[in-house]
Amino acid sequence: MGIGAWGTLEGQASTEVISISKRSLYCRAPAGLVCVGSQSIGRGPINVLLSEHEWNAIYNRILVGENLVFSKGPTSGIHTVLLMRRCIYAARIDPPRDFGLKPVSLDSLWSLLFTYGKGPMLCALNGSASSASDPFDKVVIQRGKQGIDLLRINWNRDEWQFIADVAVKTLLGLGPGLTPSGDDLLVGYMSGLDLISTISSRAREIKKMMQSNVLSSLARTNEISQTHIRWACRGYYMEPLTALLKAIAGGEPEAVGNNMKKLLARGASSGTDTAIGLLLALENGKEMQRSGYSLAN
Amino acid sequence: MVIRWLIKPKMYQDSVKLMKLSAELRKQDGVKQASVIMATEMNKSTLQDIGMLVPEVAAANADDLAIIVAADTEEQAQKAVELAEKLLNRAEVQQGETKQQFPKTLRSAVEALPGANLALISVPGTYAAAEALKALNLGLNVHLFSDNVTLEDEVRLKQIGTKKGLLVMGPDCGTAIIDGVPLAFANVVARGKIGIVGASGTGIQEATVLIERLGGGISHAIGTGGRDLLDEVGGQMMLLGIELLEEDPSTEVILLISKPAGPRTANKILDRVKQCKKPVVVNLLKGDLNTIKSAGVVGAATIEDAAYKAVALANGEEAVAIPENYWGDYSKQIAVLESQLRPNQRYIRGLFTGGTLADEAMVILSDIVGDIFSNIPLKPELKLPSARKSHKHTIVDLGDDEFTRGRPHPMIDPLPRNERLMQEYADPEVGVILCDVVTGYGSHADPAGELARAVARARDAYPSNNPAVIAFVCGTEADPQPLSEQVKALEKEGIFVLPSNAEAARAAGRIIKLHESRRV
Repeated sequence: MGIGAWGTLEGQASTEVISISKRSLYCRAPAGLVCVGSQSIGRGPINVLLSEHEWNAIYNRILVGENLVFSKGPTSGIHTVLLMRRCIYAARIDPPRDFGLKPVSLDSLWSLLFTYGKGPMLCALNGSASSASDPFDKVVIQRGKQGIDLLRINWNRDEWQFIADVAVKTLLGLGPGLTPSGDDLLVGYMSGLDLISTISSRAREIKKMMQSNVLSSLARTNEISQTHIRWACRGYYMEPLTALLKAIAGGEPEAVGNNMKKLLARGASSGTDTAIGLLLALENGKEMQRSGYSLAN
Repeated sequence: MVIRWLIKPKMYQDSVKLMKLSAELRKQDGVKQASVIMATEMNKSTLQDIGMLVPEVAAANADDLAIIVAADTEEQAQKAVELAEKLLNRAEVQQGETKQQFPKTLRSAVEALPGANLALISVPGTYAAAEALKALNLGLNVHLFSDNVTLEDEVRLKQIGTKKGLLVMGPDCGTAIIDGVPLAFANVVARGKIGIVGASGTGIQEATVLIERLGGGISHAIGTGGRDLLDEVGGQMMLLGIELLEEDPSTEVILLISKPAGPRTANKILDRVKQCKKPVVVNLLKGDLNTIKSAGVVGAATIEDAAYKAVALANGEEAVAIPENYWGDYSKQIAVLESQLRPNQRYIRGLFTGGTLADEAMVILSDIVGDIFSNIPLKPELKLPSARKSHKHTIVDLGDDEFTRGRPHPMIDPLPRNERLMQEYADPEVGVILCDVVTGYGSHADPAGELARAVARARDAYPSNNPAVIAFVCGTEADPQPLSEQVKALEKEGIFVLPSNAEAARAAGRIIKLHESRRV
């Protein structure tokens, strides 16, 4: 169970199911949302993971609008999830102070991204909007490209406050689905800033700008994505992203590759969108180093 | 071109579903453009760019789902919107090619599937008897997976079932195979001539798996629930099961797997078996085999022996005991494992997820190494004071109520066994750890992988203790967790895998006996 889910459900028994998909459902409690699903969704700040057996039992019975009860003691209801152990997932990245990007080859990560990635933001990155047959997708890709171009701008530019504002407004809520592609990309970007901010004061500044803009513009996206973004702003991400960030911080090339693949496999295009954001931030970090800025200041 | 739309306030769907839905709508006749999206500002602005933003959608907010269709005619656009709404309705979920329905009552389920003749009931015990009664009244056989049904309710349900000629399998019936269809926890086994009626879950699973390994097959496997043979219940479902298998043309041999029965019920069952037109093998774990033999019935002391005899009878051969070394001669492996033990590593610890598998191991091991302590002991004086702490030779059933209250069965959640394995590994006097791995429907997706990883962790934690780890995989190649992959995962971690639970128990006993003789 994620740290956010525990906080939301502590002292709260009944929730309302607001969305169901094959592998997870979201339910709403007065204190916020939690995501309940099978182990396959992986750990995350607002996730409550069930065994496949338990998940199938719930998935086959419950409908949107019904109540799902969370209990910390013995249960006696069909729509009840027993919170068996206080086993809380609260992983945050904690890079060493002397961390540097050198041991990790960003080229190999880009290569994995282009090999295993999918979705509109990848087309935006490739500049291949024309390949989309659907006009809606085409516009999403074009806007995605505008957002990506903004996030590529070197961090040493003075107008970054403005850039951050425009990038967030361009990307937040862009794309269909529960966590729009633009939102995932922003989360990935902020996670990259999070990683570098331990060793770079400029990255810390950019991170504050991005967070402030994202949090003040949250109404531009839906309630579910808002919840994920709020936790991302506090440094809590979904498990595959956290694992990747930790592997990069630890300078472990093999783990980096494996976790990158796991991240890219997530969702329809969610993992790819997140990875793009992360790589854009890491590239900016490297560019800062190349242009004479020390990351270790 | 005509644009039609529909707003579904506060409706959340995942991206995959929305993309599939949009693509599906675009395939419809006359549809030029279709978008099913969350109405975020960016998405509305995107719609505006492509000329599809209507005022109603513009007024929707980020938590609303919007369906927007542009088509040649009004009728085509409207039809596509209606299709989208239908596909969004979860009451009829498309999963691949199969349409699954979710009726809310037993009656509507029967109406939706005319000809259905069995209901599998898995609801909290408080409600289970009422649901089972409804099912019986609708003319359905009942597989009652739920536990915590009172004995009075069980007696009443079985009386009604017997009167109507309908099975009440359970309560707490973990497994059954009816006409080749596995129900609840069950393995995917070959069809064949042997019908089983059993009072135990993993006992039936082991029997079906071994029968397949011995070249036989299963017609039906009927579970009765663990209390059926108490005198209060009177073995009603075992008697009905025998009757049904006797009449069943696909069944040629009947195998009864029994727990110790009440004296009146035991006599009743044996009288019925003597009158049966088909050959019957009776396995009575923890019971007195002489009672069965004196009744002139083929008896078997272990599930392995029972499976062997049933297959022999199905092949028209004589029902003799399984020969020694039938599965192979494992002396060399046993000697190697024994040679790695330190002098003080003298005890066996069995960590079982299946109660009957634990029983069978105890029956075999007590003949080889003497007293076995347990939470489900063969004799009352061998009961562990605390099931959570082993004493000398110990076998624990981790699926027993004491361990599963408020948490999943260890066949689903391997954590309790993993923790116990670590505990046993830490004990320098442990020479052999014996485990079962039960696969099939309902079980954990990779129980062998879990066990192998737990062993690896334990070895890392206690490198100087290196007990032999022995396992039996109760599974088949056709299970969702294929047997060969499960065995491979265990062997990769150095776990000695044997082809039957009895053989695994014998190997454990032989290692300890050999070690004892060397110490002397």
